[in-house]
Amino acid sequence: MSSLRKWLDGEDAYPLRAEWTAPPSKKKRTRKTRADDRRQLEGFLRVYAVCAVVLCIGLILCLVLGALRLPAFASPGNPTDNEVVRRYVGSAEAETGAENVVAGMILNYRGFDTFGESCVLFVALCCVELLLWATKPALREEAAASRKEAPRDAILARVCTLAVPCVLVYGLCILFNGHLSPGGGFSGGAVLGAALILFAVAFGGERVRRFFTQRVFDAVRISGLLLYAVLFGVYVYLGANGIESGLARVLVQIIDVAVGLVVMSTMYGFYAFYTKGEL
Amino acid sequence: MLSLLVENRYAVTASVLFAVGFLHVLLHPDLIKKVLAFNIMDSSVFLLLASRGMIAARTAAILTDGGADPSRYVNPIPAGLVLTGIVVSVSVSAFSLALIQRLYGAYGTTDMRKILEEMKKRGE
Amino acid sequence: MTAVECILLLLLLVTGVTAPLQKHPLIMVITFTLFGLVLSVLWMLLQAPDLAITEAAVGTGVTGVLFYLTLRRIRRMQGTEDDE
Repeated sequence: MSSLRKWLDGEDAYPLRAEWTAPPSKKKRTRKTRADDRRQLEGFLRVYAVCAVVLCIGLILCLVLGALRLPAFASPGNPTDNEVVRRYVGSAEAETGAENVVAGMILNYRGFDTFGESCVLFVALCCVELLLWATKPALREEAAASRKEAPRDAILARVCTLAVPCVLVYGLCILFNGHLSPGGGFSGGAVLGAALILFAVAFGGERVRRFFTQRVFDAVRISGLLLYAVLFGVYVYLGANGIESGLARVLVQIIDVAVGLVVMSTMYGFYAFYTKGEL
Repeated sequence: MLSLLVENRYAVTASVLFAVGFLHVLLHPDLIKKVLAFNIMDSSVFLLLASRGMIAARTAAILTDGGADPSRYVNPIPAGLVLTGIVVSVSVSAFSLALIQRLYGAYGTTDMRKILEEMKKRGE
Repeated sequence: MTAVECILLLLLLVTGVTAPLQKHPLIMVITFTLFGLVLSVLWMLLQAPDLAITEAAVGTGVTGVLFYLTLRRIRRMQGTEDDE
C-alpha cells in the first residue's frame, strides 16, 4: 500500500521494484562491445524502417484493392441495407418513443453497450486522476507563476462572453431534445463539456470552481452513472421494448440526460486534471 | 480505374489513412506522435464504418415528417456504433497522454528509444 | 456533390498524413484539429448529424486541447530543467 502511495506521489517510478530486481549482467561492458552494440542497433533500426515501409505499402495495396471490390458506395441494394435496418427504423418510434432512431437505438436496443461505454469514460477519468496526482504541486506553482506574468487574454474573454452562453444553450438544447432531433447524451454532453472548457480557458479555472466544486463534480459523475444503471434496470424490468411508448419516452429522456452528465463531467475533468491535477 | 476510385472514395481514403497512420505509429519514436497517429487510425475506421451505412438520396434517421418508412432513411446502426467509438477514443487518448506525462516526469524525454536506453542504463 | 466530397476527402488525406510529420508541436496540433473539422463536415455529408456534433465538440475541441496541454506541460518541464 505504501509503495502505491509513493508511486502516486511520483517519488518512485516502479512500485514493484522491490519484488523484481534486474538480473546481474554477466560480462563487463567494454568500449568495444558498446560500439558494436550501437552499430548493431543502427543496422536494426534501418532494417526496421525498411520493413515498416514495405509492410505499409503492402497494407495500402491490400486494403485499396479490397475497397475497390466492395459493393458500390451509397447504392440502395447494399448488403448493409437489410432487414435489421427495416426493423429498427420501422418500429423504433413505437418501441422506444424516440424519433431520433440513433439515440433511441443506443439507449434501448444497445443499452447495456452504452452503459459499458459510460463505465469506460468513468474509469478513464479515474485513471487520469490517479496518474496526474503526482504533478499537483508543480502544476499549482506553474499556474500561480503564469497568472502573475500574463494577464487574461482580453480578446478571448470578450469573445467568450458572447460565445459561451450560446454554446451552453445549444448543448442543453441538444441534450434535452436528443430523442426528437440530432443530438442526445453523447453529443450534448460533449458540447457542454467543451463549453465549460472554453469558459475555464477564457476566465480561469477559479470561476468554474465557484459553481463546479470537487464535491459537485463527484456528485455529477457518480449520480449520472448510478441514474443510468437504476433507470435502465427499471426499463428492462418493466419489459424493455414491450412497454408503453409514452413511458418509454420519459425513461429514454432521463437516461439520455444521465449519459450527458457522465460525458460532460468526463470531458471537463480531463481538462481540469491536465491543467491543475485537481478540480 | 479512376471512376472505381471515385465510386468507392470513402473506403479508399479510409484504407490509405489507416495504413499511413500505422506507418507513423511504427516509425515515429516520439510517443505523442504515436498517439496522434493512433487517433488518425481510429478516425479512418470510423469513416469506413459510417460510409457503409450511407444510401444516396435518403436522409438521416430522424422520423419527423416521413413516418416510419424504412426506404426514406439511411442506416442508423453505423452512426450509433461510431458515436460511442468517438467518445471512447478521446478517453483512451487522454489516458495515454497522462501516461506520457508521467513517463516524461520519470525519464525526461518522450522519445521511446531514449526511454528504453535509459531504462537499460538504470537496470530496470 | 461528388466533387465536394472528393475535395474534402483529399483535404482529410493531406491533413491526416502530414499531421504527425510536423516538427513544430503547435502546428501539429492545429493540423490535427483541421483533420477533425474536415471529418465533422464529412459526417454531415454522410447524413449523420449526431456524429458531426460530437466530432466537432470532441474530436476537434477536446482532443486538440488535451494534446496542446500535454505539449505545453512538457515544454515547461524542459524549461525548468534547463534553468537548473
